[in-house]
Amino acid sequence: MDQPDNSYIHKFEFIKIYDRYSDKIFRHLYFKLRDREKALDFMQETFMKTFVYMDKGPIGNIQAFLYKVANNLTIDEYKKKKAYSLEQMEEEKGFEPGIDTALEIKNKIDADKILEIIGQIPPPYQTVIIMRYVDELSIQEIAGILGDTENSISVKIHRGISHIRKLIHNYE
Amino acid sequence: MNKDFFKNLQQIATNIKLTRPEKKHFRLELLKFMDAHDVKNDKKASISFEKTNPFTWLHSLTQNVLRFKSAAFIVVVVVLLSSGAALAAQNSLPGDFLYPVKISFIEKIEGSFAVSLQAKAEFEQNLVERRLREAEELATNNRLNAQIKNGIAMNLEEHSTAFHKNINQLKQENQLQSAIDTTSNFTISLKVHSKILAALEEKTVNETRPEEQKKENENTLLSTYLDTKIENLIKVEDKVNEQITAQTLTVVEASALAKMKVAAKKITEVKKLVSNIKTDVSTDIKAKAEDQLKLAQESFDEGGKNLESRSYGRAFILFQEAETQAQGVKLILQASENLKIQIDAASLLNSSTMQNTTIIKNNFREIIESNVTGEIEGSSSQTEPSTTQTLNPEIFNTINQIKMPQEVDTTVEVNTEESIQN
Repeated sequence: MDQPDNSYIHKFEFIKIYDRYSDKIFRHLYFKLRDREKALDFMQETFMKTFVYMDKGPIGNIQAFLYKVANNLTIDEYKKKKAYSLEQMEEEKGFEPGIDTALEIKNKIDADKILEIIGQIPPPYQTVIIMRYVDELSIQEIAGILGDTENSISVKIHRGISHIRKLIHNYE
Repeated sequence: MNKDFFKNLQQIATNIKLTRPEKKHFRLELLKFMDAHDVKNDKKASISFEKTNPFTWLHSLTQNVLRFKSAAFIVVVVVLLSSGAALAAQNSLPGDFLYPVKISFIEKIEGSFAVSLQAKAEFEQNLVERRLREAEELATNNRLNAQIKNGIAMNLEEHSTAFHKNINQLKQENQLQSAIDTTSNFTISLKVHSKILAALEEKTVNETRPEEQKKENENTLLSTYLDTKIENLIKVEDKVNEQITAQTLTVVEASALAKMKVAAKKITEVKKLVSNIKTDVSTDIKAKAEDQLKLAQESFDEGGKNLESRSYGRAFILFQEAETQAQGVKLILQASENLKIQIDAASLLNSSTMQNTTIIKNNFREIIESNVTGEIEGSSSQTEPSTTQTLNPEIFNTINQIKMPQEVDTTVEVNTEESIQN
């Protein structure tokens, strides 16, 4: 794992950071928000905010920092959406892969279902599930990003999985 | 059911990514943002000198003109370069009016004269060093601000990337020695510049007012930037060194090295055993074991010396002896512990050495014979060509000189063969 511990802040270097992490951050945000346009906006904001922070001082682990910023943005968003009305549920757009990606999933309906299930997992468990199974981060990395112990992360993952089981059962 | 869910989830995940136009679009937006952000902080926004200078026409002219490398063109260029204006441009510093001419025009022309890969790499190195000298001169006159540093660093990045590209090509064309010489020259030069810049930048920081000092944090130090570049260069050097070593390693050398590892392991193991000897073992045996261990260590050390002087054959034999001697100690100790019998230690040690020496000779002869029929790979040009060839007579002489001790009557049978065959 080649983690660039870059403390020489430089526009040139920062763009490289964007090149490297933009997809990952976008993907993470997409699963949290399940709205492509919003995910793009939040992704952009994540990098802009990170750049501003970096101007003030060096950052150690850039990947962790980016995920932290992205996560905080979604927490604010969730607070706004706390009243999950029926209207909003209808607005959920489902699976939006983007123009030039080939749809390999046999059934778009399946993909929509999966996204819905993800959407219904309570936030603290949702975050760790996405980080583990979508972002493919290690327990150690997740703990570092969220400022938790590895134990509590494992526990949260297990609880998330049992939520998923229940939700799947409801769909049958 | 659960497994399906996570499998599908991962499938969906791989389909979710930025499209190419999306990625490009947001990249551009980010660049604009970074520029605008600088303006807000009262820093002048600047991406590079090339894009904001009034001599951009020169840049495009250069691109076109470099395509036509006729003799007439070269004459014109030489005349131009030796004209007064060009001279002024050549000595200009970042921030000077003519500096962009230097960057976009003169240096590009200079670059076109470098033909071989090594020359190209050295040219990029020269440009990097030139940037650093400019930075140092500016720093001495306190003209080195953040904006100029940005521009210098961009240019540095461009040329050091080009340098690495050339080195990689050298590596691919197996010009490993050139690659490593050029890289290490560059590393040394960068180290010197890094020290100079560190001293100069420290001086500047101390001389500015306290508020400005807070802004001048470690992020913007050129010396820190250089240090990361130096680290990368050292890594490149190490890799090339490994490649060179792998290439110059002959079969016999490899065998000697392998044997050395085995012997070292065995000796360490036995040393541990000897230090853990229980008290009911007779002092006679203990003393003999320690002596034998000493012999093993001596053989090992002599093997090492031979290795250094490239006498790989002799080294192999010595390492083998060392291993055998160590193994002998081990067996003595084990036997005496298990059987608790007073053993004639001296006779046992002698007999084990004799048996193993025969097997050493046979093993080694096989290795040499298989090498004699094929070509013994002479290493690359730096090593003396005679080294590997003179190994053969030397080895056979050595083998014949191994003395065979007298056959001795032993009271207890000890197995010694399993240690020898690796």
